[in-house]
Amino acid sequence: MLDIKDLHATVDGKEILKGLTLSIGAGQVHALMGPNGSGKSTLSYVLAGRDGYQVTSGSIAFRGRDLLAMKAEERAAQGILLAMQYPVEIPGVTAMNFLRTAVNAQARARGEPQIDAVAFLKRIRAVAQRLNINEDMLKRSLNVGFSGGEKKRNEVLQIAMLEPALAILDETDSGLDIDALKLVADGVNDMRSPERSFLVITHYQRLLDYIVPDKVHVLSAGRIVRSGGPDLARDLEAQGYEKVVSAA
Amino acid sequence: MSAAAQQRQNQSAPEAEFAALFASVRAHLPGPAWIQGLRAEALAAFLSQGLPHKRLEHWKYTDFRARFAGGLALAQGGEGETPIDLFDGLNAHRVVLANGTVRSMPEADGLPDGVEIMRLAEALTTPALWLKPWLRTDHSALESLNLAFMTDGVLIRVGAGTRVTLPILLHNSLSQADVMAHTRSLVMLEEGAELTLIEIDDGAPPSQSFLNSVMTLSLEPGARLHHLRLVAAHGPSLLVRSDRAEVAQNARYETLVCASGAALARSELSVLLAEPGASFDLAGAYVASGEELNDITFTVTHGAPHTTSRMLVKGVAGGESRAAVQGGVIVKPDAQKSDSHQMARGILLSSRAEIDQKPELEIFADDVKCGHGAAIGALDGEQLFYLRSRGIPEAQARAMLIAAFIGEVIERLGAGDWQARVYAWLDLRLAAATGTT
Repeated sequence: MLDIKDLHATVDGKEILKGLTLSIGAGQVHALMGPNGSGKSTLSYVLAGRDGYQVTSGSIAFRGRDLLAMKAEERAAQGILLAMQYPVEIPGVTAMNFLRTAVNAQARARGEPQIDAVAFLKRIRAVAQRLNINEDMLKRSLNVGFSGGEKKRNEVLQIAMLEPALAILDETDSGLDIDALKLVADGVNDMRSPERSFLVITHYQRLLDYIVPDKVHVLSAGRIVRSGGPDLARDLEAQGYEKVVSAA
Repeated sequence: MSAAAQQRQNQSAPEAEFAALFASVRAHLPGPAWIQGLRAEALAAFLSQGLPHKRLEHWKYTDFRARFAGGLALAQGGEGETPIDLFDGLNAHRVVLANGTVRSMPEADGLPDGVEIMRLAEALTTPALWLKPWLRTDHSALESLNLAFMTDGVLIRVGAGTRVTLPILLHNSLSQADVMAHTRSLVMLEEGAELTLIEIDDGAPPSQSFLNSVMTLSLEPGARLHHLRLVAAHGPSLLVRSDRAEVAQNARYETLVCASGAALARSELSVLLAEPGASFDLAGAYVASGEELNDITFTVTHGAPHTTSRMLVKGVAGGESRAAVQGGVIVKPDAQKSDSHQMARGILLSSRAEIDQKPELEIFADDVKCGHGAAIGALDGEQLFYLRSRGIPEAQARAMLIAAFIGEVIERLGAGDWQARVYAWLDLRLAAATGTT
């Protein structure tokens, strides 16, 4: 699904990723953990194609294609979705209109037919209900006045509606209470399938109790310094990053 | 410079042309002797000031004189393509003014009780003296020019307590080349009356034309006016609106002005909140592209205590266009407890476009609230990335963000059947400004 090889990337001229290599197979859930400033969010933005994140060497293949040659919107249409740590507020664009525009734009890019309004509404209602999202919220301006939990649930709603091949969750657990965390985790678990992969970026092991990963990686100073099974996350929680990283 | 020398200088090419034109057409302009006298007086007032230019503080960003090509004849009505009515099919009482002359208007028996509409050309043939205070020669140069040459327009009166359910729609177009039209209208809402007035100024002349329109609005106590002004002329049109409103006790004047498309469009509005409880709300939206110059200028005078004004103007400028927003608020000495707030926001879509925003406050009372704010920027990069990261192509994402930005202004006048038409028109204008079609 995703093959990152010896990736170096800079932000504002400063090298953040320093030779990162990571491979995620179809249907797998990988967790990426690491201390602040280790490059977790940078990796997520590099994958999503945000301007200002400069790849200086290395490669990223996504489903066999060169991801770095694609614009952000093309990556989305090819199946990458980054659920953001801080979802952006957009006054005047309703959550509903935003999603319908996105679904149709992706369909157009893939040469698929547009979804009609009735079918879309039916689908979004069903998904929203599962995520305990009030329909009124969808009629409001995107993320404006949403609580922290609502914003994150809205990100998961987008994963469910856009059905990406690879969903990247950038600290989706931050700022969530335990009920909201369970709701988000249930939403993600519902979508696990042999065709869909997840990269779950998190500080804490807590989320990984609910979304059980196939593999856990530890990122430090722009490189993956350790990889292992779900137990690695528990070791990190028990011993702290410093110890695990220095042992590597 | 002496006054005489100033006048000589002002009377260079274009002004001399107006004087010569006036001499040749004055005998055919409507109105008895005392109106003719007023016209001559107004022309003199105009000539003493000349066409507005950038050295005047209020025209600093809009050099009308520099853009005025001259050589224009007075429009005489008649033929000339009427542009497609953006509000075609909208249920309304319609008045159509084409090339300076009323082409059609509702029959008297088609209007609700308490509503009267009369042509200015007709009113001028046997003018009542009550018209006189409304025909002033001491206003701006272009208002004086209008008074000298005025040909037609409408007088709308809504009687006390009358609530007009359907809007009155005034469509004013100028489509002929090399002409100018000076239209003048009067809207009077008597005590407790309520009206929705929709205006559209448009036309696509093949070469320069000049629509110089003047409107006076009078709101008696408790009256409410919802006023949409769509300044939609395009191509080489020069369009200047000079509107004046006087708002009496507890009356409320709400207006939305949307302007886009003309080579030069200046929408000027002066509002006097004359009595306690009077309130005013202005929403303004502009979309400038190509080499357009779009100017929204307003002056609100709080002339009595407990008066309220709110102004929000938003717009975008692309290409090599320029936009200016000038917001004046004057609070008179006895207008205590006045409450005013204005905000102007602009987005530059190109590095060659320019937006100038100038709030101006003159406050002579001490117990007042007067806020103002202004911001000019580019589109928000984070918002743009968020939309693109969901698969929305960049051009479409930009258009969505701009439409949302302007939408806040459109929503301000409240809902109406007109709203969808305004949005559709704005979409087209935005496509022109952003280069997406």
